[in-house]
Amino acid sequence: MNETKELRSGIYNKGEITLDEIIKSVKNNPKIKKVGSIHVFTGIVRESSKEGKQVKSMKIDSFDDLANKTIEDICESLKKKNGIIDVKIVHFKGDFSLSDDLVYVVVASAHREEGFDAIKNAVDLYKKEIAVWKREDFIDGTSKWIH
Amino acid sequence: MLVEVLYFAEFKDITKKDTEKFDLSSKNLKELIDLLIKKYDPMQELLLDKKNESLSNNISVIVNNKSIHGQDVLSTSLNEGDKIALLLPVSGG
Repeated sequence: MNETKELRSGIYNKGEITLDEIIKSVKNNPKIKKVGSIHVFTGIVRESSKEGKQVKSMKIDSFDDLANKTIEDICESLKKKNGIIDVKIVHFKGDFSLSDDLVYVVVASAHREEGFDAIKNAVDLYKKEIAVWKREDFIDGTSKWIH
Repeated sequence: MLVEVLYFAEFKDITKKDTEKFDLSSKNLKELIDLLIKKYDPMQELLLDKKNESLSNNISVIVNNKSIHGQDVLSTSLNEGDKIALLLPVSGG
């Protein structure tokens, strides 16, 4: 018997939960026997900005009340799609070094095709809609909030 | 009348604060914006359009976790204890 509690999607402090805990929570879903694939997206800190500047570190700030609500709405909306059993989105906030994990999206689907579509939708939606901002700190000492 | 401003991203960097209270007399958003710009010069570029006449199209106004829409957002009425956030476009990680 798996005793892992259902994990809330939303904003967490850096490192507060692990990808393994999220997957365990998804596998604890009462409908897990309908699932044929679990899809995982991990967003991490890249060493260069879109403009090609060298990044030293990153800061993530969030409006937790709004962001948690929007993340919940995105997950619930995707779970209504055919073949999607569970969706978890966990976005971290705080100060990050290169290659640190920033966000996890986990989708459990009956078949892989629905899962691939849903995880792409989930990533597109959270990047566009949740009240989270990232600041890239460059090795030349400058910084820029990305919008 | 006291209201509370919640700061995020650039606004947090400029003010070095998470939140700040302001005492308003006119009970509308315009007075709050004027006070913010008076206290923090760099906010003018973020908050106002290029003519410095109205709120920038980039800014979303949230009052008590609800988005404020309409053509004349600056005339939005505020009440004692309201929590106001001025948000720039988001950028998830």
